Amino acid sequence: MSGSPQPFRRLDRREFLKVGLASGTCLAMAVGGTPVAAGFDPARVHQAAAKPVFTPNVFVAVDGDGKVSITVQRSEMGQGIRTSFAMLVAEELNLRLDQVTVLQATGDAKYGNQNTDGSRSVRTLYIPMRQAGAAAREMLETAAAQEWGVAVAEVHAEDGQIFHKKSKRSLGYGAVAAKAAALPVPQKPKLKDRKDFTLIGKDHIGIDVDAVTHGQARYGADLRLPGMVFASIEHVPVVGAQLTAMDDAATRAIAGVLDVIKMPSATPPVLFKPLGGVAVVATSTFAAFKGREALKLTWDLGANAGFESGAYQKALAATAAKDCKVVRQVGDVAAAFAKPGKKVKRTYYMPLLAHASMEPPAAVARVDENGCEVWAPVQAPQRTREVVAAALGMDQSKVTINVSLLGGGFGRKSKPDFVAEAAIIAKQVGKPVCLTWKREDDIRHDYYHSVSWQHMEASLNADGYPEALLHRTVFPSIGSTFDPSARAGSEMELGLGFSNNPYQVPNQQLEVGQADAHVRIGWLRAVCNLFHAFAINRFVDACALEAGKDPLAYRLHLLGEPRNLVFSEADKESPYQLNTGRLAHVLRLAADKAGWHEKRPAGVGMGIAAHYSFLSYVAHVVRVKKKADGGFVVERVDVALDCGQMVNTDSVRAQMEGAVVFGLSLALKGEITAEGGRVLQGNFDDYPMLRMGETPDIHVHLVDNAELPTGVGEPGVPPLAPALASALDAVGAPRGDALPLKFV
Amino acid sequence: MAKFKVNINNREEVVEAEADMPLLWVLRDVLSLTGTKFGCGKALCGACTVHINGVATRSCVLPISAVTDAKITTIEGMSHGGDHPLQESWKKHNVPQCGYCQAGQLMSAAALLAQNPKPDDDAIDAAMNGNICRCGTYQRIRAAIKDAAGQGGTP
Repeated sequence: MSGSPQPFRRLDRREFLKVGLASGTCLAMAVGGTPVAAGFDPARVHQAAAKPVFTPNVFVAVDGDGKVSITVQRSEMGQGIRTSFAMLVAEELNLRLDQVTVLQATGDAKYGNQNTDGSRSVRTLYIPMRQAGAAAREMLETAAAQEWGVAVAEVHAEDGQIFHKKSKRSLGYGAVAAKAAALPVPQKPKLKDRKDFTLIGKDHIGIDVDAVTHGQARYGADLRLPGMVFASIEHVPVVGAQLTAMDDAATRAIAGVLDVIKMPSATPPVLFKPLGGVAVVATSTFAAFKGREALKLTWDLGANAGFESGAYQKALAATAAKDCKVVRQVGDVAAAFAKPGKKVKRTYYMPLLAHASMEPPAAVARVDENGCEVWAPVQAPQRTREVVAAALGMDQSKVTINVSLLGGGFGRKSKPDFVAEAAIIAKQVGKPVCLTWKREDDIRHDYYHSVSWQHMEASLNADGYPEALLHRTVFPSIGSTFDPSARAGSEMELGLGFSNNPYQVPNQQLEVGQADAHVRIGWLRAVCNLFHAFAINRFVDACALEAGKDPLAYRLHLLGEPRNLVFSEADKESPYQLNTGRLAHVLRLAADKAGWHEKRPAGVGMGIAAHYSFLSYVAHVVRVKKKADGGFVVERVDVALDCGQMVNTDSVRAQMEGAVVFGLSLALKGEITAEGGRVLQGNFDDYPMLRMGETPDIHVHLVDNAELPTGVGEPGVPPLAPALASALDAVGAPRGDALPLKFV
Repeated sequence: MAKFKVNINNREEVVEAEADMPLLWVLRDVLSLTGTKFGCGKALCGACTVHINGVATRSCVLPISAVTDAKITTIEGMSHGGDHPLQESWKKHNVPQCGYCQAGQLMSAAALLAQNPKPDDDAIDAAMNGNICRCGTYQRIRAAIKDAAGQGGTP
């Protein structure tokens, strides 16, 4: 693969059409391989359609008894995609969710793009998944009509039966499956009208809930194979460090330790290569952990050993204080700044963040003469297949990637470095291996969310609105993971909330500065939108304050009349242009529901923020209250979301609730720092997460419309931090413009 | 290596393990009971919560040698028929997102209700604050606990 991820760029119409065409291609392909159920099951005993006789495409299989299975090709990490996709297919098959078995696809190009990132699974596959079900239904109906010698228009599939009302006859889906299989696959099956939906757009319980609540759901480290051994890796302390000496005598003396294996250090570009270090293989994970502690390792720390977060922050600030590379110029900012009038100038900082999914990276791998099979919690199963094949020097056709449930992903598990590690160790020891990263490995060796510094300046006109805006953003790019010479934010990263600022200012200058990466930089839930939304919302508030205006009214004025905005050539053809009316609507909705216009009791402050990301519109109102002891509590958050057509409304609501908690964790506590190149934090004591007692009442308000489906997993996070910071301002307890706010 | 007699989910088992091996790894790697999860290894996140004589306990820091006379319950043995009121309530409120922490959440909640059948918000916070959910399902967990406790929870 090219290595460069492009998960976040906007889908233009041409691509949209291509996705539609690709679905046609999928529809024409026969089912192959062996998808597996409930995360994964090595014995594959749960496969529903055990002998499918009708497989019109890679997603639907029907057996002679009428059992229907649906294969989901995207990864489940809590966003509910297995349920949502099953709903899309079942809707068009006229089946209930309890009438289908959901299987999980292995990593295979025949499924189309399987990368589960960019909040785009439903967005890009809403139509193709429905087409997969609709094609199957049409073929079953045609087969039944032929069986009876009646017109297709007279038959109707429902609940696993095909009915011919006139003659009061019916046949099961299974009874006509073989006949349907002989029919041509319709390339443009007719889709249901929105008003006829029975599943889509309603609340549904997740299909894996029972497995989860009974300890039966399987994650990355949960498979047990005969003869399996357990491994853990003492990674290089700094990216690019080299092992210069090793004394493993004490390790090998520990009961249960079977082997110690040197893992070569990743050289730039680090890509998704194993980071390097020393693996300890043992009869239990605990023995492997103990073995690691007993290793005596000497490192040459290499070029990144000079990385100090404090000095680095100062360097970012110094870069942002001076002219950077201009990426957009509208009007004449310098001339506007030269005029007399009110000026506003602020800077914004956000540190490195770690993903810290509850399940640390883990994988099971087996390598033998037939090839390699892995079971792993991965967001990108095809990429995993490529990376594992490359690590083993094996042809991809010999590598099978079974996708388990993910114990959280947030972008971390798009990077299959840990799966390649498991495969390398399995090959070396000749036994199945279960690799577990400790929490400290996860937090110290992440693909971090980028640290950033932004500089913003505005001059206000006589009415108090910005006449000119200068915005500089400086952060090490995700691109550095793929190309060490990439020293500035890419167009894709700038498109995440920076170059598509929705507030109208007649003169604008946007600049991007350079920054070197000293750790692996990756994408984390909402990516650069996190810091761009923070800066822009905070700055709008700062201008509103200077102008003496209400932050909500100020935003609505700056959004102007409802209209579509175009920021780039690609936007011109896009069906997803940013609509200022939709952003204004979520702002008003969140504000109304939160009681923005009502008189606030003493000691209560509210902050508001809105952000457009992953093509969706989100606004937050955060309410904080002064406590008797002088501290503050986040009492309530109102979230308004417009993501177009929804599939499972309850999982959309759940994503917004979760996004508030995720946003509070990063706004209040999240900070990764390094000294001597080494990350200082390692576990939940020094990299804390929000807990139940700190969780506010969360009220989610969903906009019900029939617009194109857009992102859900990520867009709920960005507005939280700026809204919270504003609420603290409003209650007279400003905590500034550097995250985390650390007020509790 | 030593042999330890343990009672897990009402079954007597004899396991061979190092005396200092935490119960979590005995469950997962020796007995293949993988419903109990590893999250932090330092009793900071609660993903590994099991019951020791009915008390919610972090199994990641509890050596096997310390529990030989105890009655151990894991998520797999939380209820006989798989119908603990909390398991039902968790489903009704569609609590889990990724689900990884939920075994620990359920075990903490079950121990709470066993000891305090009608917990108020403060009691729920006190019992559940040791369990991290990175997906942020806390609001639903709270509602599900109240519902199971017969107090009605707003979904």
